[in-house]
Amino acid sequence: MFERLDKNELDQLEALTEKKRYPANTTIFFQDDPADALYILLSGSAKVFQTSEDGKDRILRILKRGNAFGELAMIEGKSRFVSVQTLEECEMLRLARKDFVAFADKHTWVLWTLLSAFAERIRRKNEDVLDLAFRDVPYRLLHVLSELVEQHGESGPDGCRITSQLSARDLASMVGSNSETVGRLLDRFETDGLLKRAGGHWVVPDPKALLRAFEYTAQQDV
Amino acid sequence: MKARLRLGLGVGLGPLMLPAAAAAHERFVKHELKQHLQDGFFQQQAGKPFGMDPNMIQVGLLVTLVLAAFFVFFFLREGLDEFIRYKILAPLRGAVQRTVHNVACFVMDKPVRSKWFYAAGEWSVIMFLRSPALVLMYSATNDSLVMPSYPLEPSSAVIFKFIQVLLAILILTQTLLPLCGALVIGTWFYTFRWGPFVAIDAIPIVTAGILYAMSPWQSHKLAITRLNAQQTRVIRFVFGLGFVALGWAKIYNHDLTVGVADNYPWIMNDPMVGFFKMGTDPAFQRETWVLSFALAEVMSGFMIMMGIFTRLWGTIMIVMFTKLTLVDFGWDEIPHIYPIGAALAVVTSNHLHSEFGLVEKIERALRSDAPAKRFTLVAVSATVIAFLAVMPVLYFLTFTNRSLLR
Repeated sequence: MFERLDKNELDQLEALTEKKRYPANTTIFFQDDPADALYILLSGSAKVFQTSEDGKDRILRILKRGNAFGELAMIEGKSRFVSVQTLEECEMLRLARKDFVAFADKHTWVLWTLLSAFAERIRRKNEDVLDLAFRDVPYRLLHVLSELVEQHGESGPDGCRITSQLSARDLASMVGSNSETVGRLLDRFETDGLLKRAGGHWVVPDPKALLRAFEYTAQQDV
Repeated sequence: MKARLRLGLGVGLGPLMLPAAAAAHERFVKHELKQHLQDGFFQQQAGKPFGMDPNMIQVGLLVTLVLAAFFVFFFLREGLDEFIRYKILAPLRGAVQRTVHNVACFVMDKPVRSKWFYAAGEWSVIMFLRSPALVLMYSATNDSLVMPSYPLEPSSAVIFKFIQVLLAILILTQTLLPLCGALVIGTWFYTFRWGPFVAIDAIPIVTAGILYAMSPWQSHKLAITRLNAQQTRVIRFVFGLGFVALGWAKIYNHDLTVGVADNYPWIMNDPMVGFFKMGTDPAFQRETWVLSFALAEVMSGFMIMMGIFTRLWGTIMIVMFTKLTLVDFGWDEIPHIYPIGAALAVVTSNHLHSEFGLVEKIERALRSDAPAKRFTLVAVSATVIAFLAVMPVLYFLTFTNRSLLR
C-alpha cells in the first residue's frame, strides 16, 4: 500500500504510526469492535477470522509480513466484521483512522492502492463463495494448502515448510468444514506422501505433487 | 403479521365475551396494612415548591441524577469500550482474553459470540415460550384466571379452567401460536374489567403474548429458539414499560405497596432503595421507602424500555424476581416466571439496540473534532431524558384522586 512513498513521506508516515509487539495467540481486535485504526504486519503471522453467533470460527486468510489489515472496516467507519489473532509473536504498526484520513488527503494515490486491494479481495471472496457452493471438502483443503505453500511456504531440505503454525482445526475453519473430516483428509494426504507434520508445522515434501493432486481433484470435481 | 393478529384476535377474544368470568383481583401475597401511611405526603401541599413534599422532590431528583448518570455512561460507552480494549484486554491472550472480551460485550449490550451464550439464548427462548403454560396449569388447578391472583367465579370456573388447560397444551406443543398470542393478549385486555391496575400488574404476560402473535401459524413444525431484532425490540419495550407502569402504580396505590412490606419487612432492606431515600426526613420513613422503591422500579424499567444497559438491568431483574419467588414470597408468586423468562430471552439476545440512535449518531460524529460539544450534547440529552422520565409523572401523581382504591 505504501510502496510508492519516498524517504521523506515514509518518515512522515512512520511518525504517525505506533509500533507494537504482540505475543502469540493475542487478539489484535475483535469482530464488532469499533474500527478506529489500520495495522501493518512487520513480522510474524496472524489469522483473520469471523465468528458466527454460535461461536464457530471461520478463518478467512493468514496474514504475513507486509500485509495491511483492518483498513476496510476503518474506511467504512463502522464496527469490525472480522477478528485478527496472532499465530506467533508479531510486530505491527498501528495507524489511527484520523491520521490515515489526513495522510490520504495529501497522498490520494494511497486510496487508489487501497481500491485495488479491495477489488482483489472481492475477487477472492467470489472465488471462495464458488468453492463453498460447488466444490467438495478435499478440493477446498487442497486449494487452501496450495495457497499456503505459495504465500507462506519456505523451502528447506525436507520440502516446503508452511511458516504459520496451523492446527487441523484451523485448516477446517479455513475450508468451512469440521475438524473430524479435515483430520481424516490430512491423515490421507500424509499416507499419500503429500504432507507431513514437523514441529507444529506442515511440510509439503513435493509442492508440485500437491499442485498436481489439487488440479486432479479440480478436474474430477467439476 | 397484521392479518395473523387480526384473525387470531377475532378467534381468541370470543371466549372472553362470557359473562362474569373471574372475581375481583386479589393479591395472593399478604398485604394487610398494619399502619396507615401519611397520605398527605403523596398529595399536593400548600406552600411547598410545586406543591410537592420536599422529601419527594429530593428522592425524585436523586433518581433523576442516577438515571442521567447511566445515560451519560451509555452514550459515552465507546470510550469505556476503548479503555477495555487497550488497557484491560491488551495484556491478555488466548482463551482468557476472549472470555474477558465476551464479558465486556455482555455488559455493553454488544453481540456475544460464544457457543455457551448461544445455547443459553436458545434455552431462554424455549423457556420463555413455554413457561406461561406452567402458570396456566397452576392457575387452572387453583380456580384462577391466567395468574393465581385472579380467582374465577364458580359459575364460569369450569369453562375457563378448560380453556386455560387447552391454551397450555397449545403452548407446550407450540401449536397455533398466533391464536395463543391472541388469547393471552385478549385476556390481558379483559383484566381491565377490574381497572387499570390489574392490567398493569399483568403486562409481563403480554410479552409472551406478543411473541406468540408474531409466530407463524405453522409454529408446531418449527424450532423457535431465537428472537429476531424486531421481536427483541418489542419484548424489551413492553417488558420495560410494564415495570415503569408498575412503579408508578406503586406510588398511586401506596397502601398496597407498604402493606406487602408490613408483612415481609425484610424486603425493605434493599441497598438501592436505601440509597435513594438517604437523607430524607425520618418522620416519613415508610413514605419515602414506598417512593424510593417505586422509583427504583420506574428507573430500571425505563432503562430496559429504552435499551440502556439492557443486559445489566435485565440480569438484575432476573436475580430480583428469582429471589422474590424462591426466597421472599414463595410459590404464590410463581407468575414471576413470565418476567424471568422475558428478561432471560432479552438478556441473551444479540440484537440489542437503544432507542436513542440519533443521540448516539450525533455523539459519534462529534467524537474526534468537537469534544466540548460532544460532552455538552451527552450531558444535556441525558439530563433532559432522565428528568422527563421521572419528574412530570411524579408531579402529576400529587394531583390524583385515590378514591378508586378505597
